[in-house]
Amino acid sequence: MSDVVFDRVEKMFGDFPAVRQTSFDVAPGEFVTLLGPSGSGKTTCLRMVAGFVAPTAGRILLGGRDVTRMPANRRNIGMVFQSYALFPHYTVAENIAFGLKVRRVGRAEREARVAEALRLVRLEAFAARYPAQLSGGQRQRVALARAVVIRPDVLLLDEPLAALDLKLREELQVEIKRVQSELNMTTLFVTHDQGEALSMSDRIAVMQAGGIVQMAAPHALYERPNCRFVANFLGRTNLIEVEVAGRLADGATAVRAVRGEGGWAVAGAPDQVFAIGERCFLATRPEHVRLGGSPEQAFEGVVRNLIYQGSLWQVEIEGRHGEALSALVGAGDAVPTRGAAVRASWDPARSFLLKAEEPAM
Amino acid sequence: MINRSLLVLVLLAAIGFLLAPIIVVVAASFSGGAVMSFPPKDFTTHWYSEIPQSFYDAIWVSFVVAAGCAAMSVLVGVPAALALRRGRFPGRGLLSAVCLSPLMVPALVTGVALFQCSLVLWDLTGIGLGGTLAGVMLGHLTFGVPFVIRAVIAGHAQFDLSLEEAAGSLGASALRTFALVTLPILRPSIVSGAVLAFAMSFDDVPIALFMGGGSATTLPVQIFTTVQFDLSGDVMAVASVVIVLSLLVIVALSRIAGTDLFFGSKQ
Amino acid sequence: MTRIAAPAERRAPWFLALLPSLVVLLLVFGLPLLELVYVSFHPTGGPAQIGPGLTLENYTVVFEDRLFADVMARTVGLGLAVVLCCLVVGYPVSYLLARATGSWRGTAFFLVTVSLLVSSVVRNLGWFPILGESGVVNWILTSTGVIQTPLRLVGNIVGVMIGLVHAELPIMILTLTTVIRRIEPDLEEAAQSLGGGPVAVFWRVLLPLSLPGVISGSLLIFTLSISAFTTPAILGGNRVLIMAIYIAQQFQIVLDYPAGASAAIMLLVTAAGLTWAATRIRARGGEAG
Repeated sequence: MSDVVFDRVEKMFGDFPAVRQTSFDVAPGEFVTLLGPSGSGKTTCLRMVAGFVAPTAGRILLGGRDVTRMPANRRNIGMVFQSYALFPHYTVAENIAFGLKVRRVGRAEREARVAEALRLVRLEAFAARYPAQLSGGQRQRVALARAVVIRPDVLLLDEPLAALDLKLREELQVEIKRVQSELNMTTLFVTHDQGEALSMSDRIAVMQAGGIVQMAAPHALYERPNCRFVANFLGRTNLIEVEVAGRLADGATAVRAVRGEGGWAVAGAPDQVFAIGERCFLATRPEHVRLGGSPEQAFEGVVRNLIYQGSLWQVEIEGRHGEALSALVGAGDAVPTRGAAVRASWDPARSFLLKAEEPAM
Repeated sequence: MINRSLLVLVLLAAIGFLLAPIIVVVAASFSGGAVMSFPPKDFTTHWYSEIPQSFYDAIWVSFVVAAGCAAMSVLVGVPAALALRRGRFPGRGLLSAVCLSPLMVPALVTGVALFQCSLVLWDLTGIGLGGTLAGVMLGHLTFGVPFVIRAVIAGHAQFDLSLEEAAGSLGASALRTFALVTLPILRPSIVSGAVLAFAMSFDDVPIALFMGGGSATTLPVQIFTTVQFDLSGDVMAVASVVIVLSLLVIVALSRIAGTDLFFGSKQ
Repeated sequence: MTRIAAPAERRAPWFLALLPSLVVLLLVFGLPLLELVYVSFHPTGGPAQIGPGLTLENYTVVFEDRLFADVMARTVGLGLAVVLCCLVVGYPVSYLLARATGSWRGTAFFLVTVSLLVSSVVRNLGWFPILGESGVVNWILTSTGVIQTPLRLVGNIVGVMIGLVHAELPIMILTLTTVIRRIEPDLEEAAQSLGGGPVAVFWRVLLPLSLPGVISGSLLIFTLSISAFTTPAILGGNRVLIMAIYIAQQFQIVLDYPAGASAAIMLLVTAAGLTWAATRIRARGGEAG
């Protein structure tokens, strides 16, 4: 049974559909991320689970209970806010004890659990400090301790790292993940940062314009995006407009470029059916494109731009008809010069086809 | 640039001018001769033992009225300020202007209006508010309530509403959230509104003059009416006590604000 | 699919929270003012009586009665004089306080504003031993031989003016200091580097940039001066007939309630209008700055 069930939930703000009929669930102990650009409805979904926003239609279940009409304070959730939302007039220990106090947990047990929570986030020495005396990272760890000490059915994280600088963000990613797996806590995480989503989640739901476009494990999502939006929201993807030319003996699909005379084999397992003659996109990740290779799987073009990225060079190639292709070349390998004519190619198994039409929202 | 020593001279003169009457009140309360004459004859403290009972009564009246005014203002003003900040109902901007509008009206006009109205009330119902503590206190609500509303609205501008959501997510009911989170965080602005209401009530003459009198004579009115006839050392002694008391309150309040009891944010 | 009533967003009864305030203010402020307006449109019916029938007479008296016209002129003149004094003294002081960096600034600021925190009745008492006929000022002037007979400095309009300047100078300084602090010192230095002397810097840089603050501060001081009652009553000894004193006398001595009511309404409209204008100017100045 799932800990969180989001069943055909809708939310309208006036005439504006913030969340269109959306369903997903989170299994016990699972870490699920809602990933999307701002305005995609991910925070509204989280706030509906928390009980701060009421759905216009649909049901929300937490641990098997229908909580759709239940106020936030009776849902037994733990929430970490982007702004920390630590009570400025309470010490760290009092902040963490707040949820236990309102639950009327006895003093001895309360103190023991607060101490345990402080140990969990490694802030034992800060119990008597006020939030204003802590750094941003410390504050967010207090917020995390405060949320988990009440042993919630589900932990909700609303962009908890957005206000922190890069290095702290990476540290806290590890910290949150460690606490979450140590407590085996069912977690729903909201972020717009694909790196966070990829490194922390068991499953990711990519949201756009109020709906989930694709929901899958991180590697599946990255390797097999189901549309151009997901392909480009998680990392970068080269897209070449092509037409299906026929089937090859090994099960691969032959395509040819709509503009120009290129033709390629695509061996990535298709999720969808593509008819002969159908216009679609050939997709391949820059890190799978290499310079040189066989002429029958080639993209011919001129180097337009070279971007140095430390361990890699990003080579921007422009085809004869204006098509663009990006390749990542190891810094130790031979790097072409700007303006040079190059041939790029890729393994047919590392490319796949995407429908010309985006899924209707 | 502009001649600095000249500016310093103007500053010192201004400070001298502003402090002079206050210092003189204290000095005159220790002067043996006639209050109005300079130089003072001799040093005495006997004025302090000659303060008439009516002044002690008036201090008590003022205290009761000011405390009642501050308490009532907080009681009705705080919910109003929260409503004006958070509520979504038609005419909110207009209502907010209405709630603050008494501050734009001269106190004397409010005073005579209240006086006139209390006469009508007496004629119609036989309820006499004039000359009662309640009457003066109600009159002082005309500025007490707007002061509290204004202070709380200003304090609310920095309030992070996710604090209340956090309390809710941790299991606190709406009522407990209000008591444990909202109220403590708004406390400094509520206190400053209440202090202002108290101070203005303790200072007011026009409203207390027209609504009070008799057993409901406040200290400023008592001093005000006394000096119309006679200015002697006992009034100066009372005035000195008031000065010392208000300075003590100022020091106490700045201490509280300075060490910031509310947030412990001082490192 | 069933539509669900929003529990969390159910309109909190905010209007109910506002209601007590509205009721209180209506009862202690709204109704009395309406009553005052009502009275002001009635003829007097003898001492402390309101006559039958409606009339505009209480308002048209402004144009007919010499005495009342004098009262108004005196009130306006007094207000203007107080504003002028506060500006002349307040501007240099504010400039110094706004630009000061030393540790003495806090102390100076405290000394300038502390009188605001002392009861207005008490403050006024202190002027008698200073300005009285045998007071400090006259003692200095006569003993140095500048004058022979003591000057009358209290119980007349001079005393009222001194008292009002004393009451309102700190407010003017607070307003102007805020305004001047918002003007970048760089601008003055830039003007100097372009060859502007102190006078040019003041007229061409400081004053134009602080003008919204100067105007709104002046309007505020003017309004407070024409509305003041306590200070004119004490230091004018009820002999300086300005609007506030005139109104109080109609209710306390003359017992012509309609005449007092109409004068009070006129004062109210003027004061509220000027306060509104001052707020608007400050808001606009804030945007520009």
